[in-house]
Amino acid sequence: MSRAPTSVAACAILLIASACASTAPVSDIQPGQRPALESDEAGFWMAFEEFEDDLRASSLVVRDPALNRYVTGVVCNLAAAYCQDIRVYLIRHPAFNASMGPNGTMQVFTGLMLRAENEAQLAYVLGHEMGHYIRRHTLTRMRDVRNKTDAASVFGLAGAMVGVPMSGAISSGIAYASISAFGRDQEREADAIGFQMFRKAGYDPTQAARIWELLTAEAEAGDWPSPPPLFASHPPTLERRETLAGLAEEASDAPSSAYEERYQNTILQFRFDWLREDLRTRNFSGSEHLYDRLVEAGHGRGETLFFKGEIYRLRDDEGDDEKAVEAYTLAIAERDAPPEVFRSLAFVEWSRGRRAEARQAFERYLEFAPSADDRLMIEFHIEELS
Amino acid sequence: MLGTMRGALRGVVLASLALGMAACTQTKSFVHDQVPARPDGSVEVLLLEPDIELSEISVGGIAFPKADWTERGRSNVNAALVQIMEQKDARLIYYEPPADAPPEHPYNQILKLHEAVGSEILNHKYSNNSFLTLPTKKDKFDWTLGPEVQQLREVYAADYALFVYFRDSFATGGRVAMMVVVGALTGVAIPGGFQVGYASLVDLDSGDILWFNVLFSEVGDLRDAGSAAEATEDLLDQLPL
Repeated sequence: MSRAPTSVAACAILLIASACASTAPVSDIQPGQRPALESDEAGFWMAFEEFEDDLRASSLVVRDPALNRYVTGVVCNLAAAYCQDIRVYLIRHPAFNASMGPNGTMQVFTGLMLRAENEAQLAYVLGHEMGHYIRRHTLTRMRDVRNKTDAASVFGLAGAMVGVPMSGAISSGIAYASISAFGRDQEREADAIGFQMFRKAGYDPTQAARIWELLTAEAEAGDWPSPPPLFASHPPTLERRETLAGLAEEASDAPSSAYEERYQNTILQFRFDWLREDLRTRNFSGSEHLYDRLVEAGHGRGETLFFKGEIYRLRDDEGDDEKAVEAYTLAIAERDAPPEVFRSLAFVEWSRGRRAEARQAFERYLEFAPSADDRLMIEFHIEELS
Repeated sequence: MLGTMRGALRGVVLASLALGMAACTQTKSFVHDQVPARPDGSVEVLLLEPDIELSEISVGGIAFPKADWTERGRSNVNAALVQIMEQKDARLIYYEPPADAPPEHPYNQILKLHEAVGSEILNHKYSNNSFLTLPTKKDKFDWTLGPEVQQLREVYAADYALFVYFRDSFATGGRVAMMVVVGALTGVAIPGGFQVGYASLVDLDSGDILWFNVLFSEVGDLRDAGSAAEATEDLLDQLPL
């Protein structure tokens, strides 16, 4: 009878001891460095190598060689020593995001490329992600997760033993919040390293805070609420913006540039696809805010105005027909209006009962896109409207 | 997290079906309704790189991948496969993916299709939940990848393709202690480490999945050459070759 409780108690002591294991600080990863096979770090690398294999065969990856060379070039410009260690994957996704795997797998979402105004803003984000790699943040974060979930299950169990109601749920809640806070500390650290590299590479220091300003304004305009601050893994944007603005003020007066033209010329041929993906999020107010900003900046105005019209055509609220026609008309006045603008205009005019205008717009669509996939359908509509 | 997510989902399916099985080592296999006769003499089997990962279960119950164990497990299973196939008078041909093949490359498409079909077999043939039994597949086993697989047959000059998948996990000392304490106090068994695997044999002429097997074990250990050979033998026991 007495043997079982003793071994249970011994196990409980062993548990408390293992849950309190400390996390030793880790040094920065050196260029070309690989983790030892026996280490926990090698396990995370292995898991990401498998993920990277899937990524290589994924249709979500944008493979255009020139665009890939350009983004990789920015990475190498920021830290030539780590150039061989980092592999960039451009991911077709409308969110503003980038991420870094422990083994140097960097993912850059096209939603970020669409929103950045210039190379400096892109470079700041890439530098931030490289900061995660250099500081080995996956490793320290996973060790932290392990320690905290170990502790949560041990203390949850201990609480249950002495009768604290819901102690399991409480300890896992505390563990989760504290893991998130750890994530925020890492973000601050990555910002600091990223900023340093970005500054050294000669980019305009004010652009780092600028991209957060743009994002905050877009999020405030959007239809969707942002995640609760306690569980957000990134520091509150305002705090981050202020820190970066402070860093920019401290930065020396060395010559710097944002490289706006170079950046915008590189992404020009991809913007149409990226805008189309953004529209699919159906976050209409956020997109409206974004497209207005892009139109004002003046790059690819015709296609951006076309997509602005598409917001109203799809949302179809009171008065949206007029707004759509207005945007399409402005788009048509630009040199880079896509042929699709006439097709959309035709449908909106038709729905408003303006059949002659609709017919004329369909005809102009076929004039500009004579080999369109939907040519037969459009010819049928023209017939219907005659 | 495209791939990892898919992997995780498959892990959940396998784990939930594992819980429905009893302790020790168990396998459950299906054979295609129409298996063509094995050609006489030696046959050529294209082996897709076995998908194997070994991990350690922390006190908090999270599986952390272990690279050194995985490397050992992979080499043990590969050695066992060579032996087993020799006994069956089958020659192994190793699949080497073309460098930087785009996603639309037919090989990539065939591998992805196999992964999707394999997941469906796990979902609909192995679940204890009758809700997941497909009326059209209830009393038959006729999954196929289609004749496009002949592209692999032509390039690799192989009759069959063999897919092998293993996940093996081991509880840390702390986790074992946790299992003891929780078990003693509540009588509830919380999971420690276990081994799951599946294998499938594809006819490279018709594309039919000729045979499919799932293994679950609470005692296996792929880190050990002998135990890995046993697990691989159990997994390929009923292989129709």
